[in-house]
Amino acid sequence: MGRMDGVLQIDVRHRLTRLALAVRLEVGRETLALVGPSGAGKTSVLRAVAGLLTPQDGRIVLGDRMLLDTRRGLNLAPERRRVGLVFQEGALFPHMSVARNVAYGVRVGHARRHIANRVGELLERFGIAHLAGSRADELSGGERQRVALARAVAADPDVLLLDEPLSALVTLTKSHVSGELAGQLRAIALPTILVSHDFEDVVGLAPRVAVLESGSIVQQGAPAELLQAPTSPFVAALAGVNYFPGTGRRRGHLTEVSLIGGGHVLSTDAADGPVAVVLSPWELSVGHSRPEGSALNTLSGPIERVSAVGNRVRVTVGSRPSIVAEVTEDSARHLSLTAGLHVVATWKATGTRLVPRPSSST
Amino acid sequence: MRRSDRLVPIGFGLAAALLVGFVLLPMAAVFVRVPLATLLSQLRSNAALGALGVSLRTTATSLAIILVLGTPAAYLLGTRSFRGAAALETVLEVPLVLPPAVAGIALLAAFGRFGLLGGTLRAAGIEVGLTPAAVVMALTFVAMPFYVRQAVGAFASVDRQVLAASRTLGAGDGETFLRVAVPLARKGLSAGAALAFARALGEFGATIMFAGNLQGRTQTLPLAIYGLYSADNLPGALALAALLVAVSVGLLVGVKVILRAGRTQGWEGWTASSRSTSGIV
Repeated sequence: MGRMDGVLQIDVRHRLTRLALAVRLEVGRETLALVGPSGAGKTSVLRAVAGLLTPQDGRIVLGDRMLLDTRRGLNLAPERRRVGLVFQEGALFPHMSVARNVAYGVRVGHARRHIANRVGELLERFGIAHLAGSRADELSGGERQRVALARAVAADPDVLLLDEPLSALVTLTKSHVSGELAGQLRAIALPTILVSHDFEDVVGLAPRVAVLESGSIVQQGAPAELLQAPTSPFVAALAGVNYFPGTGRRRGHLTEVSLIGGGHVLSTDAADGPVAVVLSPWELSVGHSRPEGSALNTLSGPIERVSAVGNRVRVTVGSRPSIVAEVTEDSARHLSLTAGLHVVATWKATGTRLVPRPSSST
Repeated sequence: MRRSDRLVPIGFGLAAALLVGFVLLPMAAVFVRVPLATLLSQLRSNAALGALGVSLRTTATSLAIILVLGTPAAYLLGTRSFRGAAALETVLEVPLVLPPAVAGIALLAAFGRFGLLGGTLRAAGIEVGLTPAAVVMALTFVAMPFYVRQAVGAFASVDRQVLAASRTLGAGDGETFLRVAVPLARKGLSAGAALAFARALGEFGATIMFAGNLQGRTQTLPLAIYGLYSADNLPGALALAALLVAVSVGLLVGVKVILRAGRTQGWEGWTASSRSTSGIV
């Protein structure tokens, strides 16, 4: 598709006090989740798109409209961007009723009756008609969220930005609101960026995830893809897999990876240069001594922690680098795995995935 | 309990009682020194009525100027951070610490007949000395900081995200100011306006230096009190004093009520129950 039909293109660089933001993103008529640890610059990206923060350098294009072009000194004011930003706590107007909050988004220039109709329709559509007369401070977190979304949609935006839409909610209501929100976003069918520090929160909301770490996008893709082959420690931690950065070198039909902290790992994956070893905990076996046979990789050290995960037992071994293994309850009992016990973790070269490692310049 | 332990709280109470008495006694004396009937009849004298008229007109005009200029200025200072903001705020606070007589002589030196701008103003056909306009200038100069200080604080405590939300919803800077910032800051703004009004109503030093003391023209209530007293008309002076005590105390109580409502009551009066949803626009 050559047409840029309503696509949002971001390409900005901005130096903040503790962070250098350098982000390139393209969002079509889809929901993209921007995920990363707090302080990674997620909210700054949203603020830049909304016009509340002016990046030092870059361009932001929405469909055929240029919102920002620092080279040409172009910077549209927030009120002229048609960017709907839903703030974390809603940022509702506390001196207005819910209906007046939503009406605020419907711009003047419309006939009075038109505005009243539009507000009524939005209140209905977002399931907040019964709250029309309530004050903002009487609402629950989920209700505030819906009112904020209705208000943003009322302004007829070309793109929707949601800042941590679920973080203010208690876990109990989270999945319910999340399902509801997913449906609403599908119905709105606008390019949408959804920011969250919690990967789990967005899995059901966004078919595509971009991971932002220290100001840069380190990985993009479907949630399952990211979990399968994390290319950053952050995503690896989210996925609960072991992640060892190193440098690969071919050795016959195997690749030998020299780990950054010392040690070597063999893999059947082909790679040359900076890579990271990704290893699921259930691909490891744990024993008292180094076994005979084809298991080629070993790491040994004292057990640091033993915890139950469902009917399996997760063991953290204080080797260098430290590694997490998952074994069955039976074998944990059989080996009497307890903290302090010296064990050897082994795994096959065939189960050792290698993923590209972002070079240190990013 | 030792006897000395009981004496300490009594000492605190005594100190408070002394101060309260020291304030209450003169205020009461204003009302009881001369029979109430005499006070009321004195209020109908030419001097009293003239001063009342001058005071009401000049104070109202100066308050209007303070609100119209002070509100946007305070919004700027309260919501934006820029180089020199602190210096600007300090400049606007100077009249607070300036002795009123100094304010008066400074205004003369700037705008008076022989002042810095005196020649320019005269060439433009404007003569401010000894006119109600001079009174308004003196009152504005002295009372403005009372409003601006409160207003800056009120705007600074408005949630920035709410202001940003207004912008992203398509409202420009001006509309955001009028429809969101001012309503949300209105308690602080009202309190500041009441304080500025009280200060302007009682202004004496700067007015008499800069605008003179012309009955019916520049003679405000405080100036009339001084004039009547100098002319040995104590009942007349006390009558006007009683009027000012009543108005000033009323304003002070009003400010307290406004600010307390802001603390505990939230945004009552703006609830939707008092506005039907059909009236949303």
